[in-house]
Amino acid sequence: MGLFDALDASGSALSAERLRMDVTAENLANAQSTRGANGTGPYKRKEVVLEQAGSSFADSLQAARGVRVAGIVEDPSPPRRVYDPGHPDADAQGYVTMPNVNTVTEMTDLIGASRAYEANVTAMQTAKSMFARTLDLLK
Amino acid sequence: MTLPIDPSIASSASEWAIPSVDDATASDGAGAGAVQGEGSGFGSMLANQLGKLEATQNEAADASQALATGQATDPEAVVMAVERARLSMQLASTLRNKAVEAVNDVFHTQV
Repeated sequence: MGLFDALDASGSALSAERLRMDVTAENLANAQSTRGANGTGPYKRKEVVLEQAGSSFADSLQAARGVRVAGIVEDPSPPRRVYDPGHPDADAQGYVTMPNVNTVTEMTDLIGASRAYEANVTAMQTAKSMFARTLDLLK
Repeated sequence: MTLPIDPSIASSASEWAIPSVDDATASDGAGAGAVQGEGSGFGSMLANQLGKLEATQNEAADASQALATGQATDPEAVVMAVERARLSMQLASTLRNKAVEAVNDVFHTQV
């Protein structure tokens, strides 16, 4: 148990929530992208997978370990099919394969990431003020 | 008329002489060794902690400079480094003030 364990845990959560925000922003930005980065099919919605930090036994004995990003995975749900014969990427039937991004879901993810970030900032502020109150004992 | 100096007086005078600091450390090896010993004792602990404090301050300065020049990719890491440096400095200065207070108490002892 170090002096700044709570701060480190909250700090790792801040980085993780900001990455969630980044990925959600990318999903929103590519909500209409009919061509993916590798040239095959439309953009696929991405999602951040988080896991508890620290895998060794020594780590498991510590109280505050924080969070880390396990990876960024693609959403396997099927893409949307929109009828738009004038679109350059439309198939023979006039349907365009759009990304599997739902703007409403992305907006709720955005709110969730923002609130989680706020919660971790509050936890960090509380840890700081507890530390300062302990130091006040010496005055 | 001069009196001859008795050799026994000269030899006994050394008992009243105040030993120099080197003599004190030589005769009181146990106490001096605790202060000068590497890796143990209050002095080395203090030096160790001050070194760590300086390291956190340098880390915070580097992180702030990286943020100011636009090279920092992770603003949370910068904030964490600065906060860690600030809290460490608060802890060190509070402990230092307490130690100075204790020394002043000793100096103000009525004799």
